[in-house]
Order: sequence, then structure tokens, then C-alpha cells
Amino acid sequence: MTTHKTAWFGDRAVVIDVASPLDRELVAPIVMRALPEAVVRRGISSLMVELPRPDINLLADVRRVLASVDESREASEPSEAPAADATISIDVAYDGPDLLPTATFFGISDTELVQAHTSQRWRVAMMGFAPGFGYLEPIEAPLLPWSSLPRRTTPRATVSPGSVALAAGMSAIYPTSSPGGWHLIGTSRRILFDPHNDSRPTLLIPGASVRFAAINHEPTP
Amino acid sequence: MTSSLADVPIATIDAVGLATVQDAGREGFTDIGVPRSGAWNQGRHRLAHALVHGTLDGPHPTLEILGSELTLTIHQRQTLALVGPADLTVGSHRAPHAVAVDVPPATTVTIHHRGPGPAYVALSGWQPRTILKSAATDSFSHLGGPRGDGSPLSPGEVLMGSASSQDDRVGCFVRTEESAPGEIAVVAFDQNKVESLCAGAWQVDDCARSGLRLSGPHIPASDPIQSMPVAPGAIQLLDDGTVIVLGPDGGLTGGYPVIGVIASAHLDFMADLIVTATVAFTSISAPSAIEELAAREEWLARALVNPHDLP
Repeated sequence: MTTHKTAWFGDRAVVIDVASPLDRELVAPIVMRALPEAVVRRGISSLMVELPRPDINLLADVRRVLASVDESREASEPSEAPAADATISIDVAYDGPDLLPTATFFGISDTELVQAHTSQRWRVAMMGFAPGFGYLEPIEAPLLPWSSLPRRTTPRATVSPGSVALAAGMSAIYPTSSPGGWHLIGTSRRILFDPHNDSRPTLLIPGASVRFAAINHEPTP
Repeated sequence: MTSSLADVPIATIDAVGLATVQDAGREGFTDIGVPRSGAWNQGRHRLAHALVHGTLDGPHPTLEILGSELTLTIHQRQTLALVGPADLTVGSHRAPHAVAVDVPPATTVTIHHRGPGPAYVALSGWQPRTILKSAATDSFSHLGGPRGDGSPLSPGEVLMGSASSQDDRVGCFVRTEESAPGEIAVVAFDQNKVESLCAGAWQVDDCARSGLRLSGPHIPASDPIQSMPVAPGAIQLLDDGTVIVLGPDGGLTGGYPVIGVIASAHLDFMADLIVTATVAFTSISAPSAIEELAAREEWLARALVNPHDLP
């Protein structure tokens, strides 16, 4: 018997409710190892275990894996999620149109906002919205009350690729041109999504840790 | 006879309404935010694929025709099959539906879409370029298609591939048309809400490959949720009571509460719902939905007839 709530999501997937980001990061790799044929997708407080072909035993299999997670947890209470392979460092020119208003929202200067954004270690909580778009959550205690910053009242019709953004407790980088409702604080020139790279099309991957570094971009000639 | 010429123009699009390049979809990238996409009605796509290539499942693409007329000039001999609500003319002759036909070079092929729902055309020698292992056109993520940016086909575009007339396939046909179920089966994620969903008829207010927007009986709003993974067939309930059913190009994360998911065996039929159509739902358990899908797979496997195999 597992302490995690589970439910069928249609006939090809099962959703697991997780207690916290730490719980999610502990459970995800275990399920991935135990059910290698499944795709495990992260949500903010959930995991989806999805099979390419329906299997009537999926829910029971997931519950069996979760029971083993609970047993091992009882044996030794983990204090932090497994370390990501490596921290992905992303250079950012903090030149976004919302930098000053966002700093004002937090009651600090733009320099202090940049300091907090670059000092915070972030983790890719989940991916979606667009290919390569990672929802980044703070790994340790938030250095600013990020979650108090709401989305913009009116979304922008077009956000440029590479825009570094903040909203609702998270940070992100827009991989491609798209509409967007988050506050734009800077720009990055890293390629977030390369559709011609079959083996690793996205820079970010679920669970990876991310660090931002402030730079000045050379002006484009 | 099968001949092969690498990367030669096999056909030119002369006129087209709304049509895209599709296949089974992009498998294995959903965890990094790339939707599966692919044919909206996988059953019809697979039957067209099987008529021309011999197997339901394979890497070959089809043209997904969603509206108006598609006219092609064939440059290299092809075996061609059309499956779905459309009429086929080869040269000056009306050709049979859901039958593999031989099309010689310098022939004009016209597909007149009747609808509702998509029709699929398979060509034996067509080999479009792929992006992330698939030729599927994804309108949401701007991937695939002739220019690689998710745009539909337009006049003047050339389909590349090889001359490939598969004589052994010519004459293969689909035994019977598949009839739509009276009610679309839904696996409940929120049992109470799905009971409300099944209580009355729903009208289609908007439809696209990203999803359908439905209005119908009042369902009380759910509590807000944190963004979660979603998939095609997921039924989301908006605060104003509108229901959205995600399609093959729908997003992979959702912030609206999911109340249920369309059973895989019935997902294809959502593609046939056009604006003003009505639809009713019925609840089904996940194990029963899996059994129903297995039954449909059996039907698909038996649907194809090769006259050369007949006694």
C-alpha cells in the first residue's frame, strides 16, 4: 500500500500526486528505472506515467513501485533530491522591459533583483507550454518571495526567443517566439530548442538544476 | 515491380484547401515539451498506410485533408489510397474510395473533401523530411510540414521521394467503413464531474487540431489546480463551464482541472466533430477502455483485404 494518491489518466497513463518538489524528484527517477518502457512526465505537484500502448496492469505496477519507495523511505529518510547530472549555466543580459517594474514590485533595486535571480539555484520542475520551455522552481529557500509575483494582467502577443522571465514563483526562458504572460527581466542567447538534434533537442531537461549568470551582451551590429 | 529513384519530385500540389503532412507522430519527446502530434484520426491514417505499404503501423506519412479540395500532379508512378470522407478522381475517372490504385506519371489526382472529419492519402514513394523522427505537422509547436515550421501545404509545393509503384498492393481494399459510436467514452479523472458531463448533449463551438471547445450542461467549477501534464483526449473544465478536449497538437501542460480523458478507442472520432455538431459522452472504466481499444485494433487488423490472398 502506498501513501501516494494514484489515478488512471485515460487508459494509457497514471497520475501520481506528490507531496512536494522533493518528493517528486525522489519518486520520478525510481519510477523511470522500474518502468523503463514508460515516459514519466513531471507536473508541479504530480507525475504522469505514460505508456505508448495501454496496459491493464499499469496502475498496479505504479502502486507496487510506490510501495517500494515508501519502504525505502522508512528505512532512511532522505533530506534532499538526487543531484542532477550537472548544473546548466545560462548567461543573461538583464535588459528586459519588466526588470525595473519587477524590482519595484519586490521593493528592491534592479541590481538587487539581478543579485537574487543569479544567486538562486533553480530546478526544471516540468516542461511544456512550448518545446524546450522549462518551468524553473527554486531549489533551496526562495531568496525573494517569487510566488507573490503574479502573471502580467495582459499577456504580450509576442515574446522574443531567449526572453528570461519571472512569474508565480517560477522563472523561465522562452525558447521560441510565442505569446507570453510572464515578466521579462532579461535575455539569453543560448539555444533552448534545436529540432534538428534528435538525441538532445532541448538544453533543459526535467529535474536539471539551472544557474543564471549576469553578462552584458555585445550590441548586435 | 518496385523501382527507386532517390529524392526525385513525385508530385506537385496544384491546389489545396486545408491539408497537412501527418504520420504516427513524434514519440518519446513529450517529457521535454514536444507534443506527439500526428494524424488526428489515427485509424484512417493507418488504414491508408496499410493499403499502400502493407502494414497498419510504419513510418510512412499521409496527407491529412481537412477541407476543400486537393489537386496533385503525379510525376513518378505511384500506388495511392484515400481513406476518409472524400472523393477521389484519377485523371478523368472517379476512383474507388479505400482501395489502392495505380497512378501513372503525368496524371492529375483530385481529392474532394466532403467531411466531416479528416481524410488521408497515402503515396507509395513519398519520403518527406522528418523533424525529431517524424514528418508530422504540429501547428501548436510550429514543427514539421513542408517548410518545417508547422504550416499546412500550399500550392506549388513539391513532394519528394521515389518512383515506387507497388503492384502487389494495387486492388487492396478496406472491407467496411467504421461507424462512429453513439456516445464518446470517457475515463473519469473526477467521477462526479464526469457524471455531469454525461448528463446531457454538448455542442461544438470551436474545433482545431489543438482541441475542441464545447458548451453544454452546467458543471460546477472545480478547485484551482497546479499545472499538470496533460495529453490528447484530456477534458478540461474552465471556470465558466466551458469544456475543452485536447487534440493531437494540444499543449502538454495544463492549468485547468482535468475531469476525464477520452478513451483511446474513441479518440479518433473527436476529429469528426465540426462546429455546431452535438456530442454525448458515457463513462467507462480504464480496464474496459483498454478492452475496447483491443477490440478496435482487431477490427483494424481484419479490415484490410488483399485480393491476391483470396481463394
